[in-house]
Amino acid sequence: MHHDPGHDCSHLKEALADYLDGDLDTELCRELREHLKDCHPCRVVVDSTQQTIRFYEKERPVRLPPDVMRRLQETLKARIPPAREP
Amino acid sequence: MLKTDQDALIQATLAGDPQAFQALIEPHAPGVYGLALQITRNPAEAEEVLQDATLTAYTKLTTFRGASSFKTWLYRIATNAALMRLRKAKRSPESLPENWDRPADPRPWTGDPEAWFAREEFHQILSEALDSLPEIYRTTFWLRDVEGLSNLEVAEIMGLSLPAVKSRILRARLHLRDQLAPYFEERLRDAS
Repeated sequence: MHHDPGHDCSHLKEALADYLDGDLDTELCRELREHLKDCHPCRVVVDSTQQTIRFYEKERPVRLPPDVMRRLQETLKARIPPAREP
Repeated sequence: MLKTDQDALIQATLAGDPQAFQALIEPHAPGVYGLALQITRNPAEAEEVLQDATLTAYTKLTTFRGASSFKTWLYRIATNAALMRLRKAKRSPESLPENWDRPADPRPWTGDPEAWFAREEFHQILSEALDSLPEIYRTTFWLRDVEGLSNLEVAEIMGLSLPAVKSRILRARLHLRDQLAPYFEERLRDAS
């Protein structure tokens, strides 16, 4: 967020982290919310950053290859002593 | 896994039951592997980190006090193991420029996200954008926005202050937005 004619957006960047996390109660966040009503470029950036976060939240989790799991289980069997008989 | 189940498995492991430890670790193995992959960018190294972190967790389990969750504790061990490998390989951490300037004339993103998700190309684009982040940002972002951990948990895992975590995550989010923007703006132009 940089200086636009008629707008001073730059100091509101400090509020952006909290705003994107949904912590909206600080004075600076309230100011940012008001600012977004009037500043189209800032609103586009905030909207598209929220969209970016949603994309990654929904992205497929990393799949653990079955071979990797099998080798981990083998390592645990080899390196951890078996339970003692009662 | 319920915390009570987890506590029971920890107690059983400490009492000498190796199968309890396996049951404790297995649900976290994909997450630890994914985290290690983000840091090392190398599947073979990520597997070694998973094995190292798992064995370290076993040997240090008596020191786990439950002040943090087992997952957070395990992820911290894995992060340290992965970062140690980077240091051994003398891969120095890169950084992003301190200042980020808002694009002068950003265009809105439009379209149907559900339809994007159905396209293989879209996942490739997300992956390439993530690859373009320097490691310290990628790991922090991954833990926060992909793994869904809280800022506090990420701070604990990474050994960072809360403001440092928030600053890195914001920088990562804005960098990723900038990387993805041309793709969606291009699509907007195609559609118009």
